[in-house]
Amino acid sequence: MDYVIVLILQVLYSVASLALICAGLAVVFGMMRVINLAHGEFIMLGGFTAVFATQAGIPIVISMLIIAPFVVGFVGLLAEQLVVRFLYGRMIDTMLATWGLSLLLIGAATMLFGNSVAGISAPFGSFKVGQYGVSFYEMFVVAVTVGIMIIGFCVLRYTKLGLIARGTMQNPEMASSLGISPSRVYSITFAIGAALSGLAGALLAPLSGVLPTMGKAFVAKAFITVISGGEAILVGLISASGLLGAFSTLATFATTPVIGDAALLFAAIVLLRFLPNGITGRFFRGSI
Amino acid sequence: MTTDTLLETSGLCKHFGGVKALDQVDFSLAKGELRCLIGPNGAGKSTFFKTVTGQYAPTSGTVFFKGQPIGGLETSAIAKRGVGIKTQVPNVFDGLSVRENVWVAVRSTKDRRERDEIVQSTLVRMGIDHIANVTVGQLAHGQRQFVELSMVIAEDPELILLDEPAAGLSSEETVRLAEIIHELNRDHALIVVEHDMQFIRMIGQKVTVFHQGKILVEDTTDAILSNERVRDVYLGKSAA
Amino acid sequence: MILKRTYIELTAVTLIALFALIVFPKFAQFYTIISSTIYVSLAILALSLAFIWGYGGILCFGQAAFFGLGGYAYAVGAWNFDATVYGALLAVIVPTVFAAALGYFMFYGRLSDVYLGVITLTVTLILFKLVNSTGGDAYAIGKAKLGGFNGMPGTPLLENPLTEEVLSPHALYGLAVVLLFFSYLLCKAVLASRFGRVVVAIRENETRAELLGYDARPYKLIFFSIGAGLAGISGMLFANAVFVAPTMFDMASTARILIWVIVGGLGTLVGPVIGCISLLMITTYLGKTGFVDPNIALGVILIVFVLLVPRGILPLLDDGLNWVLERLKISREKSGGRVL
Repeated sequence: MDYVIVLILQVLYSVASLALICAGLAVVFGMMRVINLAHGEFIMLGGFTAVFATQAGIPIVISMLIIAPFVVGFVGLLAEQLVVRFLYGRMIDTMLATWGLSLLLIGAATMLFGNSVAGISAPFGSFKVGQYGVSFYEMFVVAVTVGIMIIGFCVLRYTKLGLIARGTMQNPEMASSLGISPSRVYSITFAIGAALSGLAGALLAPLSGVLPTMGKAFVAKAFITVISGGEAILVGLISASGLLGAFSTLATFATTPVIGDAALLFAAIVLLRFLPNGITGRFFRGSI
Repeated sequence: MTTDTLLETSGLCKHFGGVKALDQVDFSLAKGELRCLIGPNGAGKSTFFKTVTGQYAPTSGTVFFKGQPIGGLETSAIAKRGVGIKTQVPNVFDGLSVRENVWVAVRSTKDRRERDEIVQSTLVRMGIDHIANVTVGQLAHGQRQFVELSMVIAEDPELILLDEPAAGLSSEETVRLAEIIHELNRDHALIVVEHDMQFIRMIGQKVTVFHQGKILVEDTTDAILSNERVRDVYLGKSAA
Repeated sequence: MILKRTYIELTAVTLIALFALIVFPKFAQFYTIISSTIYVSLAILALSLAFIWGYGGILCFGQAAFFGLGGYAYAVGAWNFDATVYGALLAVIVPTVFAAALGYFMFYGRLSDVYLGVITLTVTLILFKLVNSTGGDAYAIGKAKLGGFNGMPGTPLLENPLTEEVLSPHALYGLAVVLLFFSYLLCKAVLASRFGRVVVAIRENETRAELLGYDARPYKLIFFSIGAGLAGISGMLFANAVFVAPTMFDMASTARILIWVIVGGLGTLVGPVIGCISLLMITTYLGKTGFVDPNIALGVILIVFVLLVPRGILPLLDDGLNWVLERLKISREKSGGRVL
């Protein structure tokens, strides 16, 4: 019985952390149809920011929830202004350019921070379910992820910003008709996407450690989950993370974490064979 | 269905969401027949073509070609059975030369020399052999129309569908096109979608009028041109 | 005109291959021969992506996966079989079959370019993780221990199947040059065939090709698999020149293949080979000086080329050459006019 509870908590945490590392990518893909290959490096930057800010004496929760997203959001804005905005409408070129950005950021981080693991210890300690220990921090990550989803839903559903965002998703000219230039919507979206990636990196830093090349540990899962979800940002993200995250956690429990990752990929490829436009391309159409 | 029937649809429907682009279409074409399709914009003519060629799967109803059901098959499988189409917007290989475009269209033989001969004779027949080595992307609209037509001719399908072949052609080119269509009709069945009534008169024998996804009436060209109902829905403006 | 150009290209490539095969080893130092073997084997990898992306329009971000699979297939075969040449065969077969299986899901699902890129990249990254986790004696295929992070150093090298002698570094270099040359000829031959022309037509306009009765899916699948087989040959040579390790599947490994193709010129075969060899020389130099991290250099090159030189160097050189020829022609006509 305890084992089942622990298993459920683990699945919950896996799904939440998967949704977390996908969120930034999903926003940018859903709004702009851009696959940002520097996504993993935004996560890495978020991790480094949180580590350095914490080491500088700032309370860990503030460095994770506020400073990291802001810093990485700003980096994202810069990247958008300097590179990405010249390539809208050219999806493949955007992917290639953001890949260049990814290499650039890895190289820069290696030169600046060195190629060794930086880390902060996870706060909050742990609690016991029968004989099993469960980390409070993992449950904190779940809570933050749920919080982001709720905020995301409210913003998209009830605010003017959300209206513009949904409008742009359906039809980029719609934003113009609301008196807002699509290019501004795109800049803001890209920055928000980057900030979410930064937040993910910061939250995962205590658990995984931070390394210039850490991005690639996350991106494979993130990309495949986002395209499996399809174009609706929230519903796609939640449904794909739920399905693939749960599947891969169960595979992990049965075998090893690496097999779990491979199982996630395999499930996604089979899914896309039959639903080429992702889950929300077939189900929940017209949702956000 | 008689053995003379080449194409037959019954109860063919294609819906997009709530829009009935095709609504219970019963259509029949005899072997070797030349038929014109007319109707106002959005009447379902292009949807009808796309459903026959397999670009759209029918919502319901059947399509028979040479007595075989083809509804819902892959586009390429339907083309292989002998349905060729010239689409509304010139649909060509822009990065390839005129000769390469036509070369790819020949599927009847695997022999390289025979292929080259078919390509050459088609180019000459269509009067575009002088631009054979020009990249198609650089050509004017009218020439691209002829390139696509050449591809369909080189493909040599039993049934040729032409979607607004005269659009954007000069009057000279239009006369030439009408001649080509009559020539093709000697050994091919054709369905031609067209807006230009002048052109319909040039080539027309039997005309089918589409309206709101249904077949409104089917008759000879002259009868159609004097039909009151047809005038009401469609010709009222353009035939005057 | 087009024929003439093909003829010039073929002659030039043949001459360069002969030079690389016969003249170059006479004066090159031993160390240079070894690094040249690596460059030439990677040039086959560049060629394989130039082929499927430039002509088939198949956006493959995972060419490194086939490269790595080829290398590992060779290593496993070389450990287990009596003759290493069977390992070499395996190095072609395994990536080809893997690509066919992956291609079935991608092409028969009619996934778009972008999705293709993402899936192939993801496959590569997962393979990296899988192979990386095979440390320890438990992970062995027959006599071949996969070695996890450390790779498989000490893998038996290719032998001459007739004499059963292990190839010398010079012989291996010669083999690499010959294989590059024949891979190039194979690509040319495929593209000149009916099959190749249909693939190019499908890249140009898939709908039109289907309306003419060509089912795009098997064409793409076969073309993609050929490219994977070529990448496998490259991996096999690399396994002999260096040794196989999980970094063959690395994200940086797959990125640099794309960079070679983009820098050299998408839509050509020779350009990416040139791009590959020249960029390898630059990054090796940078790595030696340690002044700039090679990743920074590659990243900047990729961004600059996508933004400013999207067609790559070879088409640019071609334009330049045509411009000069035009000028010459004009000036000759002018001076000719004056004489008359």
